Amino acid sequence: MKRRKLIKTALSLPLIPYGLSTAIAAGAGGKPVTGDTIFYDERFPEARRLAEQWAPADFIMPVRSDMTGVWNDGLKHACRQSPLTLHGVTTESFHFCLEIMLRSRAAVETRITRIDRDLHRWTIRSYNKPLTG
Amino acid sequence: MTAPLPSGVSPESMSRALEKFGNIVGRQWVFTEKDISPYEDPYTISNDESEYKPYAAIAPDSVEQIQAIVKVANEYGIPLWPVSRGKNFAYGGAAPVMSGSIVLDLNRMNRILEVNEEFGYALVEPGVSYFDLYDYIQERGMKLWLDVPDPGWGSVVGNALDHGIGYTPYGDHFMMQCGMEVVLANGEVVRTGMGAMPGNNTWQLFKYGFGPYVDGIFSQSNFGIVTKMGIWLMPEPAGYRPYLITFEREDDIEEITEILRPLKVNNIVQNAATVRSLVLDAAVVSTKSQYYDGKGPIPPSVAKKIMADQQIGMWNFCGALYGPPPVTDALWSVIRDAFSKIPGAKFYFPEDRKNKFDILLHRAETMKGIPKLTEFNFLNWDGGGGHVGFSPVSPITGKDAIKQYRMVSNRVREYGFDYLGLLAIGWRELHHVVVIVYNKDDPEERQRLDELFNILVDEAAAEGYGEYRTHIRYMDRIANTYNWNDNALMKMNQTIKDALDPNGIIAPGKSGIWPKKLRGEQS
Repeated sequence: MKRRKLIKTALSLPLIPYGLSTAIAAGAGGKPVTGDTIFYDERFPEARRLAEQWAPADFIMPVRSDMTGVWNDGLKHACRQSPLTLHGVTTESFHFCLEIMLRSRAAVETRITRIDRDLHRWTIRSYNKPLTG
Repeated sequence: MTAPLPSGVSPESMSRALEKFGNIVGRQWVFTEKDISPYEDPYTISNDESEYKPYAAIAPDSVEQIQAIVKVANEYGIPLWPVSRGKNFAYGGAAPVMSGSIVLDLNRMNRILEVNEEFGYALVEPGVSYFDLYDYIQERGMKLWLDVPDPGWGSVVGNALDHGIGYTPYGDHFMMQCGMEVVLANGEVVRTGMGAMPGNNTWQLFKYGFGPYVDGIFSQSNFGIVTKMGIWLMPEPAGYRPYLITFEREDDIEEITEILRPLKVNNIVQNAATVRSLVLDAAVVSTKSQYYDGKGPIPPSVAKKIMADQQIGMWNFCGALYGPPPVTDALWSVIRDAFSKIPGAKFYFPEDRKNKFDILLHRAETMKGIPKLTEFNFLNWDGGGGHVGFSPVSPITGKDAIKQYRMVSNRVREYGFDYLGLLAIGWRELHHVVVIVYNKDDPEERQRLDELFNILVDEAAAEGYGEYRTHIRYMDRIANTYNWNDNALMKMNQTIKDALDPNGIIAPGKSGIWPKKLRGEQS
């Protein structure tokens, strides 16, 4: 039975070239969010550990479950300007809401793997093709 | 899987209709097959994959296109399921009651047609979200506040039509709507209230016009497609002071509610305030696993630990004062004195809170009309990601509040879920909004939830409590509880449906109202 799931694909996360993207948004504490940024939920040591495995420390950004601030601080404009690839090790609401918000402005592809009861590791890519829904 | 065709529609008819829809809206705005997943229920409860499946979606961007669409739908008997933005996720999202329906997605109709600062109103299309309208007002420095529900991505029009609530003094959204434009099933465009008079300049100022007040029949209904709506906005007050009062015991809800009624009816409590349960507030800032690894609802010892860590109570009354300081100071003294009668009550303003991530700091923004998505944090509580709302209404009495709380919370816990609930205080009633958070990927848990929900509806009805809003799955069941005098209300709704939409093309099954041709099948 095919059911719409947030966990869509067991993801083998790609290696990405860090440091090549320009800043696309201001994140928590004024730190720039780039296409290389890995969001991690600061309440869970495992989230930080996985994020650090994934990217150099300069590119990881602490968040909690709510993506409203990151969105308002710049992502809402950035996603209209160019395609984005965002990554994270967070709780579900962060990437769920991010995906829905991005989808209102661009086509979106999401890959999510559940880590444990609280955490998911995810990548969301947006494209400029407009979509509704 | 591909959605089944709607009843009575052949593959050829559907194919021809989709081609014509594409000619009307542009082929890139017709979504089928893999592109319709955003229109499915993200937290589906049913284990039958064929239920609540749209066949396709189309996204017009004008009234004229909608008129052309309903003409084609009538020609081929295609059911349309209009959604403003389709973000009503606790109640089914954009998904239709009847599988095979075509979602009429109004997201592209997102024009803010007017915001009037002097009179305090906006005229908007259905695709305008709370985020959109808030940004518009902020960018222009207008001294107006929105009233927002918890998800800021929702439609201003859609939320009002679904009788949604917010948390400022303008919290009853349908009460604040004024004038609408509706495309009827025959393609005719109607403007309600003063909008029916050519050249009139009070469409968004006076709700009733002349003759029967019909706006209500286009809310929670399938009688027309609303394409414009006026909504009153609150002038920015001279002062604003949010507050939180916490209470230690579950049974305090009885006395809290008794104290609240006169305060609300006399407008001492000015806003659509809420009394929120421990776990609902805890779930906004933490997850269950941070406190408890066991299965089932949290035990009392864990509840006490959460209360201490997060400066919250078993119940948390979240309100706000609006106006110049002499006014708010006077109101606060009355409120504080009234609730001080309850042993253990604690009073907080934002500056009294010790944690950076805190329920009052979050709600303080919501109660001043700032759209957010923070409340979705509760999805993470137990790691399951799904939620559904059960929302019975009762009088603002302590007796009703504690009776409902015991009925619902006992059942919810019996079925292995935590109780996440709030009492939203209206002008004369309270909405008991219970959020059941479940594992959307677990068929057994969905089945258990479904059984629980049906029991909750039936038990509430047996005590005379009706739900004000519901998930698409339970619309028939709940409509059947409003059955006084041999279902007289439903018979009237069906008469209106048959008169306005004889071919039954608009939202079959919405709020339990089925077109004549499908009534036998559904019963």
